[in-house]
Amino acid sequence: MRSIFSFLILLLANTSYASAPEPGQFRYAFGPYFYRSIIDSTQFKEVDSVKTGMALNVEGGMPNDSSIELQFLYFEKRYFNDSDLGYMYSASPRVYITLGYRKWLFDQASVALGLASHYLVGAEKVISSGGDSSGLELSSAKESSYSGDFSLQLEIFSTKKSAFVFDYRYSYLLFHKEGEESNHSAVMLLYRGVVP
Amino acid sequence: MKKINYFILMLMAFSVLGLDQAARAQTKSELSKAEKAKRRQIRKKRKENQKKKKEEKKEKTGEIFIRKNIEISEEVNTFAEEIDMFLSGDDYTSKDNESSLVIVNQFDYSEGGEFSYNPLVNFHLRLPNLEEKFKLNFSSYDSDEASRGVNRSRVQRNNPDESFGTSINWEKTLGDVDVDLRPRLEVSPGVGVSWRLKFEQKINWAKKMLFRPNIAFYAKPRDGTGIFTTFSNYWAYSPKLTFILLNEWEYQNKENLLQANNGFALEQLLGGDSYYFLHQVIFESINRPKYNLDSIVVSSGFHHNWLYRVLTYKLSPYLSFEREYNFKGRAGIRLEVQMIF
Repeated sequence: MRSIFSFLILLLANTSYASAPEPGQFRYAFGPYFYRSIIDSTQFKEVDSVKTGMALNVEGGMPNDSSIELQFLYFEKRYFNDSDLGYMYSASPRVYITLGYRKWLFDQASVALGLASHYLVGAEKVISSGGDSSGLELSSAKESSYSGDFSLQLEIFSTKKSAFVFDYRYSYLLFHKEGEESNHSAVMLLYRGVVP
Repeated sequence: MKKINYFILMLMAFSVLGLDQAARAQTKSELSKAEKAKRRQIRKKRKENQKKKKEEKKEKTGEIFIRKNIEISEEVNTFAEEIDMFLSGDDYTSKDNESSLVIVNQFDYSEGGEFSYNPLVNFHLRLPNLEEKFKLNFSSYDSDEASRGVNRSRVQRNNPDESFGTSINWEKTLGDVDVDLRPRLEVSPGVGVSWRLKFEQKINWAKKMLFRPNIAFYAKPRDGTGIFTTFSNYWAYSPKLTFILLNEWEYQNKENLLQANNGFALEQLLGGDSYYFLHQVIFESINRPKYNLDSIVVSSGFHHNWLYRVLTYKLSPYLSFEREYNFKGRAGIRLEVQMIF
C-alpha cells in the first residue's frame, strides 16, 4: 500500500503542466488496456488472469476544468453466474464505447463518470461450467449491454501538447441477470496528444 | 213542426261551423305556404352560408396547416430551448433553436404482395447555447440517411428497425476528412444507445465530378456491430441533370450478412430544388446462401418539397425483378410523406 502511495506521489511530482483541456480543444489518447474481472464466488476455482486490450480516448474540453470523454475499447468481457448447483463462466468479444464527464480535481488528477455501451462482435464462448448450470443466465450472448464506469486519471509526465497518463477504471454492469457477475477493473497507460 | 225548425237550425249551425273551418283551413294553408317559403329561404341562406364557410375553409386549409405546424414547432422549440438552457445554464448565443420533430409515413404496395404502412418518428435536438458554451459542434442528423445502410437507396424496402429516438452529431474535420460521431438514444423496444462513427471525404474533379467515399462503423442495440461503405460518383451534366453512380456495401457482424447496391441514377430537377425526378436502376446483392444477385429494381420517383421545411413527399412507382420470384417483373408503388414540425 505504501509503495502505491509512493508511486502516486512520484507521478504527481513529475507533472509539469496543467492538464485540463481548453474549452473547445480536442485531445486523443491511446494505449494498452489491462483488465481483470471481479468475481466473488467460492465455486469459481480458476484464476482469472489479467487480460489485455487496446484503448482509444477522445476528449473535448469544456469550461471549469472539465471535459466530455469518449473511450473506445475492444476486449473479451467475462461473465460469471453460479448457484448452489453449479456455475457458468463465459467470454464475449465486445466493442466498448464509454461517454463520460471528466472533472480535474487539480492539475495532475482527474475523475470521470460515464455510461458504457458494449456491443458483441463475433460469438460468445463458454470458458467453463460445472455442476448443473442449465438454469443459469448470462448476458454474454446479448447484442448490447451497458455499464457504469468510474475513472481516475493521473498524469505521469506532460508537456504542452502531449502527456503520458495512468488511468484506473472500474466498470459496473447495469441490468445484469440474477446472480450474474461481470464487473471488472482495468488500468491503462496512455499516450495523449492534441488533435490538430 | 218543431222538429223541422230544429233540423233547419242544426243545418245552419253546421254550415256556419263548416264555413268557419274551411276559412280557417284556407288561412292555415296560406300561412303554411308563407312559412314554408320563409323556411325555404332560411334553408337556402343557411346552405349558402355553409357553402361559403366550406369555401373559406378550403381556401384556408393550407394556411391552417401551416399555422398548426408553426404552433407545434414553437412547442418543440420551446421544449428544446428548455433542455438547452438547463444544460448550458445561460444564454450564450442569439441563434434560433432549430430543433425539429419529423414524422414520416411510408406506404408501400407491390404486385402480389401486401399493402404496408410504416410510420417513423424522429426528434432532432439542437443545442445552440450548449454548442457555444462548450465550443463543440453538435448538429441534428441528416434524417438518419446513413443509418439505413444499404436500404437508403432501395426503393421497395421498408426502412428497418427505425425507432423513436434522439441524436446529436459531433463533427470534426481532420485534414480533408470529415469525422462524424453520433450517439443516439432510442426506445425500441427498451431504452438503448446506438453509435455511429463516419469518415467522409468529398473530392471535386474537373468542377463537374464529385466523389464521395465514406465509411461508417456502427453499433446498434439489436443489430450489433457493422460497417457501411459507399463510393458514389456525382456527375453534374447540366444544371438540371445529375448522373449518379452508386456503389454501397454493408456488412452486419451478427448475421454475417453482406449486402450491396450497385447501379446508377439520374436526378432531374424540375423547379429549383422544390421538386425533381430521381430515375434509378439498382442491382442488389446479398451473401445468402452465397454472394449473388438478389434483385434488380427500376424506379422513377417524384420528390416534391411541397412546403419548405413543413411538408415533403416522394412518390415512387417501381418495377422489381427478384430472385425469389425467378426474376419475374413485379410492379409496385411507394409513397413517403414527411411532416416536419
